[in-house]
Amino acid sequence: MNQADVQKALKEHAKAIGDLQPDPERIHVAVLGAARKAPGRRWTPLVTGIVCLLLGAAVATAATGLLDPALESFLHGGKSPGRQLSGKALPSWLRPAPGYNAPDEVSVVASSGEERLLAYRQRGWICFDYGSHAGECRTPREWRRDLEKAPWILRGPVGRSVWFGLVDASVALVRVEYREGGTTDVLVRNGGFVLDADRARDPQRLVALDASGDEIVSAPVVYPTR
Amino acid sequence: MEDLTLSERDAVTARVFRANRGDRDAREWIASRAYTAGLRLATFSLGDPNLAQDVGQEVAIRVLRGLPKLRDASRFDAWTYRICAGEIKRAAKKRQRHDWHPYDAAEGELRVEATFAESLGERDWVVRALAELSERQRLVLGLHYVYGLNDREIAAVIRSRRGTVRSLLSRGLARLREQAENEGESDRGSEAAVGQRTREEAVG
Repeated sequence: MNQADVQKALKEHAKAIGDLQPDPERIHVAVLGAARKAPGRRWTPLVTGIVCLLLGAAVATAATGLLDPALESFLHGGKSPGRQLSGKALPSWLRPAPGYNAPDEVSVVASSGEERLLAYRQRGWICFDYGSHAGECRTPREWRRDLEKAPWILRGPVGRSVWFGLVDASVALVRVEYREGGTTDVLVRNGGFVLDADRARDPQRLVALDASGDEIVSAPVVYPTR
Repeated sequence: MEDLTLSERDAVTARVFRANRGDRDAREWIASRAYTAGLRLATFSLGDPNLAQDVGQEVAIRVLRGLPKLRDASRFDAWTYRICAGEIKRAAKKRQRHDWHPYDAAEGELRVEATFAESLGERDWVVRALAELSERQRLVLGLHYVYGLNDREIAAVIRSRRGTVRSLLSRGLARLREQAENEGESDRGSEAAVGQRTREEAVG
């Protein structure tokens, strides 16, 4: 068989195919099908996933701007914020001891007199100790979630009349207002603060202020009843 | 391109405009034209009119849905052929996943509907031979032989160079010729085997 025979056979084949007629019923179905909403393409799940990732990244980026950089870094696996403690400077309950999985690094986020807000990481948990009174360990996600809900995480009063707290980046100063009108102010350090109030002056209210002195959030002072 | 006179080309363009404005008859007409293109090209390429009907329907749906985005209505046919090419490729992949071949080697016959097989007559080797070509070769041959497109027009459809189209055409034809010769030899071989058996039976 030569090339001409092949071409002739192809032409005959194409002619026979050219006689094929569409099924009118199926054309009608196609017209109706086209009028319906187009189904999602096969790569829709992939695109949706990418969009979700981008949105997630955008939210994460936005959250990054909400916290003090040192605190933010700590929640993301960086070193603990503030002044690092080691050796004998470590509080006794955090020093290495046999059978105790002591944290690698402990830092003082903020302090007031002898009261210190300590930060450290232990077995993946992010821990804050409120002086020698109490402490709590939670996952970075839980800390972040609470700081996204409110401008501060307030703990206290403990000891004489001390408040500890973590704040977001909008808070520059924390103030306690006394009944006679006076106040005690503390600056936020590394995303945290320690406020040692004078109980004798009857504290009434705690206020978080921004750098312009505008009030962001406040809470009444309530002492636990014995 | 299909050999349209100016008025026919204008008729296509006018119907595209009307279909985009929601004219029901124009949409039916557009669907029919797209369906037919898909049906014929897919039959040539895949050798299976049943599967080609599915391709035709899918092409019609895609054309109707994509019509509002068609910027140059006079390019309707080329655009439709491109959609056909995509749908044929998809259908071929689907068929490959099910390990389906138009020719059943064990039974020695084409797996196509009886009426189509009858219409092929002596040309059934063409379907078998086409199945051995590459997808692009079949598409180019189909556009050339079924729709009479020249190399420039085919190049526009498959977004390739004219030289590539010419090469695909000539290599496709050469391959078909090889296949035809192989078919001829195997037919002669089987005839010889039958003759040998007949002689043995006569001697026995």
